[in-house]
Formats: sequence, structure tokens, C-alpha cells
Amino acid sequence: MTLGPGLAWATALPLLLLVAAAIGLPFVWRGGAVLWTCVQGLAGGVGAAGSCAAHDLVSDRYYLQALLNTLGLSLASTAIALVLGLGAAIALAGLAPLRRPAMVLVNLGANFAGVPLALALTLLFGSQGILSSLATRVGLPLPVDLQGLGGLLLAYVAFQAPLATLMLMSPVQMLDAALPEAAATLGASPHRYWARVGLPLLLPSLVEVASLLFANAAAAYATPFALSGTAANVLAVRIAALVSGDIFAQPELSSLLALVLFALLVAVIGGARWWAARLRREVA
Amino acid sequence: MSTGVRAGRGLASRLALLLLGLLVLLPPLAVMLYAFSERWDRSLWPEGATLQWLAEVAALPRVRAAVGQTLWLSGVCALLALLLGGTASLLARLAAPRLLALLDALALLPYAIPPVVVAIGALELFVGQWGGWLDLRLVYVAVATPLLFPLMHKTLGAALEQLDVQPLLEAGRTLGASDLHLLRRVLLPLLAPALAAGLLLCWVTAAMEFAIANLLLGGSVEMLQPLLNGLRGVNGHQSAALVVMSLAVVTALGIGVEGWMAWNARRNSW
Amino acid sequence: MDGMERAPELVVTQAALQLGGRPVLRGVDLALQRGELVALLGASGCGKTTLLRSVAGLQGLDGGRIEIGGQDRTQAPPQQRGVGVVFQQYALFPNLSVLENIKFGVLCDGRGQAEATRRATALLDLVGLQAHRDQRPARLSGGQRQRVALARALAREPSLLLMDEPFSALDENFRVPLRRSFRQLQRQIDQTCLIVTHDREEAFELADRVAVMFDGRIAQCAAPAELWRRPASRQVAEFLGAFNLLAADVAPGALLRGGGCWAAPIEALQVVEEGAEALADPATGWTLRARVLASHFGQQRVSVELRSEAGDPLQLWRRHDQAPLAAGQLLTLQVAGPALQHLPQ
Repeated sequence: MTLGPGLAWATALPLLLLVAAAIGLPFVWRGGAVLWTCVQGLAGGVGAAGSCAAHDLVSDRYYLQALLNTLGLSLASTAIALVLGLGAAIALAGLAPLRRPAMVLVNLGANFAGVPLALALTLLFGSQGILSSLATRVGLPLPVDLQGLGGLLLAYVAFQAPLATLMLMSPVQMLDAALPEAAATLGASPHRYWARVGLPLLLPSLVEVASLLFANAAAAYATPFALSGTAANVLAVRIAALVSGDIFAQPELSSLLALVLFALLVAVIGGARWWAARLRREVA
Repeated sequence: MSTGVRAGRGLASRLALLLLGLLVLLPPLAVMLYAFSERWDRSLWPEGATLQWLAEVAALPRVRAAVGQTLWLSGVCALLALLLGGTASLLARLAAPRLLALLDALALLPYAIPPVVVAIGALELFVGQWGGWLDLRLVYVAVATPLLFPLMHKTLGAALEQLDVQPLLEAGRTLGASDLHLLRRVLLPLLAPALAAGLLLCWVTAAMEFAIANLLLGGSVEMLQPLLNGLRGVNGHQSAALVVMSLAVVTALGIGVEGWMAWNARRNSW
Repeated sequence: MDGMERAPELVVTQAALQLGGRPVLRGVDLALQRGELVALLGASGCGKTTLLRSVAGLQGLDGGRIEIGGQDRTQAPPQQRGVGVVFQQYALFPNLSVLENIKFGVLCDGRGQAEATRRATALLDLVGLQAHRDQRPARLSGGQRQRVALARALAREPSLLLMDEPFSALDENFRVPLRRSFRQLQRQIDQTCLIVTHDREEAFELADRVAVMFDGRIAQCAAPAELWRRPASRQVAEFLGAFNLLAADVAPGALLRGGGCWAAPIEALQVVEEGAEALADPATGWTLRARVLASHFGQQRVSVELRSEAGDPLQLWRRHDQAPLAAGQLLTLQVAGPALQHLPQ
């Protein structure tokens, strides 16, 4: 038995089959069925078009709103998390003794998403939450409505920021430590160094991390569901609620939304990888 | 007085770290206070430090059943991820670059087809269409395992990069050892910590998963995270206590694994 | 020569630093005149790089003063010290072209794009890299990168140029020509320069003065010729590796001393041929017998290891065309009086 490609592929076969059967099959079956119906509808004229789920998608503003909400929340939480995560990663890179305990906490933060986070946020910002009561006592109305998009954004940032920090630690540490020193001896302020050298060098990693953060937010189900149940209007919750929710099921629409989500995520991740590769080539 | 250059780690980055600290610490703190206090509805501060919620929730048969099921099922998923995914990842990195490219793409799949989509797809196809003869738990394992693959793949990748095994393999071959021998006596012992760390990481991730546990198994098998959610409406304190217990275990495991990996890295390097 | 002395470009007074509980700099004093090139020579861990970084402002001091261009810069950040630094791995900005790298410092001074480009172009001419001005550092060879680093450091016309092992990352073939052309350049623009190196050859070829450092202190700072003739201590003599050290308590006649050793440059050790004339002046010279241990055939000469009857290890240099010496052979050797110098240790 030699360690060669043959053995590797043979060993990988069960995994590939499992992925194809468990992930690929349902997705392709459902997605294919929906696309087929819609294509037929387009070809068959007005009457058949009614059975294509795209009709429901476009006519009912509710689902378009879900898409917009998902886009908005993902973009906003990614942007905020990226800024916070980059700042924190830079600060941690310089605080060597603090790094191990900080990593433990950051890991905790990233894992806290979903039900525990919803519980915590309800305790803090809910109608009887501590921070809400504190705010009313002080006289300042708290701008966070847990049931609305503001609350969702806060929740998303709460698990995105630690994740961003985790993912950025390694690219930040890989920056040559002599570069900021060289910049300083050339008369550059730290701000100038980051603007002209540091951030441009980090840009490929930032792009890739941003795409993963975006995907993470767009796919989040546990957190919005735990906060507002099926009332949370994001794509992930809609996809689930259309099949197993309280109202009568619309599986075709669910499949279509899943396809939309898939297309969005592939575009974002693929686009980011292409862009990052291009940026890296420019430096080489 | 020192005037050393601190690589632009000025006020802005420390502010970011502070904000991150708040985001990371406040929620668990709130939950912990809630879990260990008798009541918190009258004033700004919790009242009555107590362990009663912990004791109550640990004794609930529903909780014990859910924890048991979760540990068992997520354990099977993690083991399968190791046996199927870990081995494939290892061999691809060592001997098959084309397979590695495929696996790298496969590791991105869960980002494009997320757990909720997978769960609904499985619900439709395996339960809706073929529900009769497929055990739901089998479906759960089959569907959750591929989603763990990226974790296993990345953990192994990091370990192999650190260990630099190619020269070891070459040296072993020139000394006359068969590849099987090398695998058993050199590679696997060296990689054992990374594989174990990957296994634990996958186990924890699977146990904390919500979407598939809720949507696929919701009606028949109660798992930990859906139970947590359900318990919020019944008794918030108990729910908080359960959260604290599960997260304490997860954090302890995380620290243990990280410490073990660091110890091993020191042991194997000079 | 006018009567007034020019103020030295760099004055380090009693620089002291402890890192991690260990003293790294123990009261270092150093002064550089305008246009002078001084090499900090020492083994790794002696503190030479730390001293350089302190002068640059990249490392703070626990005690002592640093004056650059006549002004106290001990507390000043690197941006305000008027120094140019060439790092060991050059630290070129990978995302900027050669031209942009060189312009970087000039732009930081707020001098505008036109001025920066003019200055950078002049420097590109000086180091001979006009053809590569728009390339990224990754596409350049080691020697080319080194020259870009040098040009970049010189762009702001610093009063003091600091270099940390600037030639050590280069291929051996390029090291000698590059450092010689650098020395020419330095003389041409009269640039005050402090170079850290662990390479003795390099230090001696480049420097007006060499500061030999041990364990956080400068043991001797003198012109190379002075160091060859008059090492200040046994430690310096051993470090330079160019001396034979003979125990003084077994010396003949007038050379007998209670302690310490007699140091003589290796070339001064000569073989006395069978039946040949003894020393011209037996009163001040030293004749001794030693056994051959091994012969090492180097590139330039043959290095013969010997042990004297008194037990001192000795080195003898011979040319390749001279008759080889067999191991175990007993030889009579002599050192002329003027070549000997007593060292107290």
C-alpha cells in the first residue's frame, strides 16, 4: 500500500458519496424542480406561469423584504464586525501575554450565538431587560428594539465581531514587524503607515474574511429564530417557515428562496476569492 | 522612559478591543447572573444567590434525555467526520493535490448551502418523500456530518503545516520503511493531537447546532439547543442555568484542547 | 583646520538597558564625527543591535543620553530623530514600487510629490536602479533590494545612517563588491554611518573605526590598524582571531611577567629552519618549540594548528607552495620582539 493518489481518492470516496447524497441530492432535486417549473411556465405562457414560485416571490413584498433584510443585516454586521475585529486583532497582536486568555474569550463569544445569545440579549435589552430599565430610569430611551431589525443587528454583531477577530489574528500577526518600524524611521505617523502600507497589505485577507462573515450572517437561523420566532423576516427563517411553519406550506417558494440564497452566497464567496487572488498577485 | 514603536497600536485599536470585550463578556455575564440568582425582576440587581436552578435543571429527566441524545448523536457525527473527512483530508494533503483542490471546494460548500437549507432539503426529501423507512436520526447524522467537514479539514491543514511531514516521509522511505509502516508509526502518532482536537471541535460544534436539530428532529427527538429554546418560555432561570453548564463544559474543553496542542507543539519542536 | 571642533554627529552617553531582567547595555559610550563610518562588531547577543535600535528610537533606554546632530533625542520618537535605517531584511513595503518606496519618507515630511519624485530619481541614479523604478520589491534580487533600502533611508538626507547587518542576507559572491561600492558611495556623499555586523572582514574593510562589543559594553573603539596592532584586552585579541596568545609566566628572559599573556599577530610567528640563523635580536624576541597538531588547507593559505611546549594553542600561516608539515612534527618557531604586546589578562 503506497501513499499515492489512488489510495487518497479511494479513502475520500465515502465522504464524496455522503456529501452528494445528503447535501447535493436534496438541494439539486428541490432546486431543479423549482427551476424546471419556472422554465416551463415561461415557455408555456400565462396560465402555466402561475405555478412558478417566482410569481409569489415577486408579488408578495414580504419575501422581497426578507431578502433585503438579509442583505442589509449581513452587510452591516460584516462591516461593523470587520472594523471591530481588525482593531481588536491589531491590539491583541501587541499584547502578547494577554493573547491566550483573550483567545479563549473570543472563542466563547463566537460560540455563544443562537439561543444563548438570544437569552442574554432578552435579559439585557428585552422589555424588562436591565439595560432597558436603566435607560428609562436615566431618561434616555434605548434605541435597541429587540424584536426589530436594530435588535437583530446587535445580535449579529455580537457573534460576528469575535469571529472576525479570530479570523484576522493570523493575517495581522503575519505582517512583518519591521515594516511599521521602517515607516516610523521614515517619518510616518502610525495612521500613515496603516493607510499606505498596513491596510493595503491586509486587504486580500480582509476581503476573504468579509465574505465568510457575510455568508455566516446570511445563513444565520438560530439567532433570529430564537429572538423573534418565525416573525423574524430574514431569508433563513423564511426558508424554514415556508415548510415547517404554522401557516400552510409552500415548499416551492422555500426551494426558490434557498436557490436565491445559494446564488447570493456563491457570488459573494467566489467574487471575494477572485478579488483576493488578484490583489495578492499585485504584490508578488 | 521607553519610546519604542508600537506598530501603530494606538488608541483606535484599543478602543476596538474594549468594545469587543464588552460584546463578548456582557451577554454571558448576564446569563450567569440570571442562572445563579433567585429573582431579577424587581430591581436593577439580581437577588438571592442560589444554585437551585442548576440543581433543578440537572435533575429534569427531559434535560437528561436531551443531553444524552445530543452527546450521542453529535458524537457519532464527529466520529464520522473524522473517519471519513479527516482521513480524506490527510491523504489528499499528502499525496493527491487534485483531490485536495476538490476538498477545499467541498469545505466551502456549507457556506453556500447552510444548515437551514440542508435541514429543509432533508425534511422534504428524506422525510417527506421517503420518510417511511429512514430513521430520522440516521438522516440527521448523514446530513450534519458533511457540515462538520470544513472544521476537520482546516484543523488538519494547520497541523500539517506546522509539522512539515514531507521531509519525514522522505527520510522514512530512504530508510526502507513501507508507507503503511510510516503511517502507523510516524504520521498518526504525530497527528494524533490534531485529530483529537478536530474531533472535539466537531463534537462541540455539532452539539451546539440548532437549525438541523430543530427542523429535522424537532417533533421526534429533543436535542439540547431546541430544548434550551423551549425552556426559555417555561422557566428562564433554568434555561440560563443549562446554558451556563453547557458553555462551561465547552469552554473547559476548548482550553484543554488548546493547551494540549500547545504542549504537543513544544514537545515536538526544538 | 579651523580651531573650532565640529560637534559630533552622534553622541551616546552611558546607554543602559535591561530586558527581561538581563542587562543588555551596560553604560555604553560612543561618539561619531560627521562623515565617519563606525562598525559595531560583536558576537550575537552582545547588544550591538539593541544599541542600534536605541539610537534609532525603536527601543527605549533605562538610562543614558542620545544626542543626534547636537540635539538631545533620548525621548524623541523615531520620526523626529533625523536617522535613516536599513534593516537586516530590508523591510521594503511590498505593495509599493521601488520609486514609491524611496519617495515614502520624503512625502512624510510634507514636501510634495514633485520634490519627492525628484529626490527619489536622484537616489535611483546614485544606486544604479533607474531601470527598476516601477517594479515591486518581490521582483528584485537580494542585492537590488538592499540598494533600494539604502536609497529609501537616504532620501530624507538623514544626519545619521544606521544599518543592521546590511550585507548578511546577500549571497557571498555579492557581499564584497556591494560593500565596496557602498563604501565609495558613503565617502562620496560624506554620510555619517553606524553599521552593526558580526563579520570581522566586513567591519575592517568598511569602517573608519571599529567598536568591539562584548556583553553590553564597548571593549575598544579604534581604527582597524590600531586594533590589529594594539588590541586593548585579551578578550578583543581572542575575538579578532588574528593573534597568538602566549602565557607570560613562562616567557623567556626579559619577557617574563607575573601574569597575563603576550599577544602577537599570527603572521609574526615564523618557522626557524634547521640550521638557520636564530632571531636577529634574541633579547626582545621569543623562540619556542611546538608540535604540529593538524594542517587546514583554506582558500587563501594553509592554517597549521600547533601546541607549544608550555601548552598554548598556536596558529601558523603558511603558503600553499611551502612544504607541508606532518602531524606530530616538532618545530622551532620565533616571534620578533616588536610584534609582541603584553595584555594583562
